[in-house]
Amino acid sequence: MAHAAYDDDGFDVQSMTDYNLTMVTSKAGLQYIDLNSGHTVDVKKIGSFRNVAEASDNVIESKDLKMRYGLDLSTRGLFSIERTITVSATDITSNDQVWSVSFDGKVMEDLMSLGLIGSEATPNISMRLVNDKIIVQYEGVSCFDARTGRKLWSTEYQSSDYSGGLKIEQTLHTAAVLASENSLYLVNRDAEKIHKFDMATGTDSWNAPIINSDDIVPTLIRKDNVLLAQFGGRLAHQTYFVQDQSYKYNQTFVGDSYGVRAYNAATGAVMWDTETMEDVLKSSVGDRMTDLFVHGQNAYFCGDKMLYVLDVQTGKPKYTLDITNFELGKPWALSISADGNRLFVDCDKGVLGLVTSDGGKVFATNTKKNLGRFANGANSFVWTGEEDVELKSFVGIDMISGTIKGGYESDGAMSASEPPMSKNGDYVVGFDDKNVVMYKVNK
Amino acid sequence: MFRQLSTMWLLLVLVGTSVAAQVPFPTLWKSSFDVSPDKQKRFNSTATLVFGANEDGACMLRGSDGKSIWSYSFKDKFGVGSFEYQTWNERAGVILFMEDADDASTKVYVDDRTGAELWRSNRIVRFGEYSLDNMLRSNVGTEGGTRCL
Repeated sequence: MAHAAYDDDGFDVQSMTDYNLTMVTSKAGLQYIDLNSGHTVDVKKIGSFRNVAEASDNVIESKDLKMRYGLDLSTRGLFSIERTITVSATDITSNDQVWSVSFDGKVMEDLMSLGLIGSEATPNISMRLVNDKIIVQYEGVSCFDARTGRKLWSTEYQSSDYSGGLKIEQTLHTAAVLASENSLYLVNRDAEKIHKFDMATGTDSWNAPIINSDDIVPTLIRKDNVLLAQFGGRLAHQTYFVQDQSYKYNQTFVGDSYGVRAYNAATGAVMWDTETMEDVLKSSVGDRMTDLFVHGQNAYFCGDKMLYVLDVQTGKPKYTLDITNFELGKPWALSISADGNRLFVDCDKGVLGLVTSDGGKVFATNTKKNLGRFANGANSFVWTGEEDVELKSFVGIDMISGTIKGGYESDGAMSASEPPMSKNGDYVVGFDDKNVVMYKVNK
Repeated sequence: MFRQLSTMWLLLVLVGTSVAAQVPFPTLWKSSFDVSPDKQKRFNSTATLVFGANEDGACMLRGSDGKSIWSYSFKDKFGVGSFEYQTWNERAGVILFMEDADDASTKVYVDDRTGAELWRSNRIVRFGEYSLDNMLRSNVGTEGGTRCL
């Protein structure tokens, strides 16, 4: 939020730059303006508008079914997560409503959002169209016939961890849901199981035990006949301190154990499990792991010190690499270039570039701190500084060579979603009272 | 509650601690606003315009060289002593200066590239007032404002 202005009469204009919105509060009510279009945004859609990653699309169009599907939430009381959820379908051509169904359910939100009025909330709900089924994921999962709106089945599900008291804590996305072909794979942490549901009937095709209810399973990936489950990971963690009414949002490693388990997607049988492969891997994953991804026939992830590249079918390592040899601290994120030829390992003190095929070093750039990496246009930047809750400096980094292009430091903390730079990342603008400095990121 | 949270959020963004200096990016230019930008310090998404304003005046710098494109005091330019609120609709290329929150206060809309007044209004602020369509509709002036071309 870059600008706010309000007075005692309740008139309020706020430029919500994080969400590309301007919010206007007046005696007449609340209004949002989309800064890209200048149009008023439907208040009911603000939640997903503000939190796209969590809320996903709230409107889906299917040319095959000739229908447009909408997802709406009722308003709610302060600190309540109870909602009436409405899914509706309209004919694309005539705009006539074909069907509409409503049901009650719990919808988690950002902790900060819970103290706001319902229309200001950031609900963690998503809707997706899979073949001819509508899947709605909230604190539960419901499946509907996309043609008729008939409810086909529903199941229990908890997306997040929540604990109350004087220090309220919430960790988002601790249990994964994956729609694949005609099946829905779902982690039910209460039941300590991973389920495979038949999409049409909700029949529990198989359920396999996870290790225990403390296990975090944020990612499921299907590759051919294998279902990979990531145990533990780096997730969004939110804390509200009741006594001083302050919030802290950060990313942290959570999980009772860390590693990957492979299930036979057809039967649920465990094919391999890193927890029992220390002799094969010659190391343990340790007390943290990055997100898991699959490229080609290999699964990629980092533990607290090693990079693991494992064959999806057997779990046997194609290669492993000790990241701590590069003196960049522990890894916290792993990604792959668009062409698939480079791996990038974000570590506590810098960024490592590797050849995907064999783990050969391309660059190891020490930025002193690496609190997060982001791209604007073709330019990449690393948040440096002291703490991720107060981002005050960043450096530009060439992701081909690893060269540091320069840095920028601000007196005040910057918004992670809107660093002071042009949209293409070519220019950084610094303000100091009346003075302005324009920096050029690339020489 | 909502007001408290909004304020708290701002504080979270504004408060910080010192860190070790980095080698800065190469400087393209250094410049300064003609006014103290107490209310507004911002730039557009392409960094081709850099805007500064307080309640008494405003200034726009050119992003390519930092030179002032336009600058004025509100009293001299519009005959209005101060504008408490300013909002910039980058896509429309329009900056709205609002005298205060009073329904009938003066609202002046200016072209962001020239600083020239497009039109002004004393209309009550209602939903849709700031929408791009409304801003650019030629008949807006007939609804209570005076369009200046």
